[in-house]
Amino acid sequence: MSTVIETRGLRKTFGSTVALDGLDLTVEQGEVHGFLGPNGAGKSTTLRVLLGLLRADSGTVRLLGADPWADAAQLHRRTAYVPGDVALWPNLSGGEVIDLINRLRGGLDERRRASLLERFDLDPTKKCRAYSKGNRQKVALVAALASDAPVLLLDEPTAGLDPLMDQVFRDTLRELRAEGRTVLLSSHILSEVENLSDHVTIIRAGRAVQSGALSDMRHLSHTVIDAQVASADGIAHELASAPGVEGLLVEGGRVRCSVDPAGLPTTLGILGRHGIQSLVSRPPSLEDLFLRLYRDERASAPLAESAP
Amino acid sequence: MRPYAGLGTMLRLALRRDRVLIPLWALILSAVVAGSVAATLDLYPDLAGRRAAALAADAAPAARFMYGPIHDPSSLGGLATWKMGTMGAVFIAFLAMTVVRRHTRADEEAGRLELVTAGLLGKRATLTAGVIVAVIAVLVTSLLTAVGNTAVGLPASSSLAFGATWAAVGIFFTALTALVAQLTQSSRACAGVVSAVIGASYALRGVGDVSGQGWGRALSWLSPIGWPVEVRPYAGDRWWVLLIPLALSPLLLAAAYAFQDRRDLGEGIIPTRPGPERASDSLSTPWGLAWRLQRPMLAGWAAAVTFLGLVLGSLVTNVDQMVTPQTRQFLEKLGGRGSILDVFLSVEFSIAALAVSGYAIASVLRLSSEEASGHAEVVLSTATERRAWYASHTVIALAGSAALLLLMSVAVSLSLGLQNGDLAGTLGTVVPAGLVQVPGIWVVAGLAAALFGGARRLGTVAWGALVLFLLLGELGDLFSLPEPVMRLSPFAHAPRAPAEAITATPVLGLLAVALALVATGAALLQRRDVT
Repeated sequence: MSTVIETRGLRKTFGSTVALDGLDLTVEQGEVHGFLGPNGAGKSTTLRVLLGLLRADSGTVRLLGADPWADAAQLHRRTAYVPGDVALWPNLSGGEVIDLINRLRGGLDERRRASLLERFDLDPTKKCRAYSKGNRQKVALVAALASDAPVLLLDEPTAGLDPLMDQVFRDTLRELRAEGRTVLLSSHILSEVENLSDHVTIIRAGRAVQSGALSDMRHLSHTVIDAQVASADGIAHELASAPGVEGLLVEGGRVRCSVDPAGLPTTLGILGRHGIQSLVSRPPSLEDLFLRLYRDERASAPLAESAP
Repeated sequence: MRPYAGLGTMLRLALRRDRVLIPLWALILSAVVAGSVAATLDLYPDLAGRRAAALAADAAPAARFMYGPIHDPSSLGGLATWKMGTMGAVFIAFLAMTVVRRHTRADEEAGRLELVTAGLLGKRATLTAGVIVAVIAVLVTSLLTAVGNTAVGLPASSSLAFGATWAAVGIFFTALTALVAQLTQSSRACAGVVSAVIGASYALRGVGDVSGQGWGRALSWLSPIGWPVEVRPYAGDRWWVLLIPLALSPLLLAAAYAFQDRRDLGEGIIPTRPGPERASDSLSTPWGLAWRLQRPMLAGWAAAVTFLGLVLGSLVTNVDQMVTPQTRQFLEKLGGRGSILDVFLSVEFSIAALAVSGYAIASVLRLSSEEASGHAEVVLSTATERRAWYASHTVIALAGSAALLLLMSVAVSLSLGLQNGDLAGTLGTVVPAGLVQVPGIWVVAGLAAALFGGARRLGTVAWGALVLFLLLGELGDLFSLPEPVMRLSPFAHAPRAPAEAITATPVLGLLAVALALVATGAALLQRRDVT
């Protein structure tokens, strides 16, 4: 397996705004890599640097082993891109745009083009100005997904799609993964990435705060517990002083909290002593993970940084 | 919901967005008029000199075509505001179009109105706000001009009439743009339609004013740009002529509201036809795309310059019999020495060069709008080199402007040659005279390209440069500016053919400058971010 995307210490500023602040990102061949972060975290800037549209101030960028700033056009033969803000020529039809983009880039998978148009329920004869936002998004998606490019850079690709079309997108992406294509999928929708990605990089304020296989990340994190106990007397106090317990909520006999791996024996012991009646425990969703990471970051960040 | 709900908010928003644009237009226009009036006063202190100059200017068909007739040669104001009266009416029309369009169809197309109308806005609020702001812009400019002319020494009541002609033209084109914005679905098409009406009005008035008497004269009355001339400010002040635009404007506006009430947001009355399902073979390269995007504008310009060329060619045939010695002197000052017909042609081609420079800038700056809209990001994320993308639009601008001058000179030759019976000979003189203007236009295009290469937003500075070149050429003599300042304009270097011989040095010099500018733009673009 070889590395398709690699950035080290990537830095990019626009005037006094720091968009990327030492970003490290590694994407291996054949993986669907989730690139997660809130709006303004630097996801789109990263993709534009990877495309050679923006020049990094410092740090290194490699795409398919080459420097995207120097070899942009060559690299783009093997890269398909869906921009975060899809803008198409109002006078061209959707079908024309799909053909144009792929002819300018390289090759097109004709069969997939036809099947995607059908599955996305997209009328290719409409002029782009007449499309709704969701339909413009579909045009850009069909153009990228029907390409034969081995690398796909997708910037918030499902924005504006309804749930049905979202499913079509997921199915297609799984097909592409099965073919061994490499996908960098940026999103602020965690469930989207959770279902599709093998690996995830979480970015905040231009820096990667967490990166790795999803399974490893969950292991690092807490278990969410939802229990019913016979006697809740004093349990709130006991749990609150137990190690590694967070987000405690006690309502009558119902107890909810999240516990880190080290705190689990103590927590389960306390619950047992109070006459446990039912217990649901689950690994944290990416959502929980995400919120936790930000809570930690914000708590440790100096106050000045959060000021506008 | 009440149709005008939220009008106050929209009005404040529009005024805030235009707080620089409107005062700038008003100040520049009124200052240019007052300045040229003051300069004319200095130039012709006595009545006799003024009379002679006015008679000479009025006898030249080319001058009548461009600026209209001088109704009273003894009127100081008539001569002093002669050029700017007509030109200013055109500027005011464009100001009205710009303001109305950007607050209505352009906003709607960009989706900004969707944000706004989802709130508590009445259906008519945005259109009304755009119209009111445009009328304010027009009135402020006109009033300031009237005050300026009075301040430099012209009679107050006639100056008010002069300002009123601009105001009436501005209001007419405000109402017209309001209507067109309802019909077309894109703001580009809206601008195209209104600009075409302005151009046609100007040409129609020109033909009418040259024709002098009879049915031809009626053409001026059909032209919205002709009405200010017919008011005859400083030569009778026929206020009643203004009843025409003031009666027509409410009708246009009523039609605009009627269409607005009946259509959906984002839709036009003229429906959008479906496009092809697959791209044609020509749409496979950046060149094919640029051509597809630029073709409509070039076609519009081609039609306009062909028409203009045919009209001018038919005008010049009897120039020789019409001129007096004073006119000859006047024309020679503008166009250089030579046979009067040649002088006339060289004046026309130098004006055409300025107009076609407008095309060249707009065409080059398609790069800028492609980048701003995000279309460039789509193209440059394919295997398209930046150089190729830059070249595709720039080369179309250069080749397109050359083609426009070629078309115009062939059109002039055709209508001239068919009358004098020597088509081949006419082509031989007129076509080189037209083409010799091309390098100057290319310098302007190159300037736009170099500025765009430096930074996306910088490209528009080229428009300012063109206005500067225009003012240097039109008013430089009047203000007796020093020679080196006058020669800042590339058009001061182009040989005034056919009146003067074509020499290689200035042509090659201009070509070299143009090429260097285009290359600079390419090099700068390669080094900067695409945003």
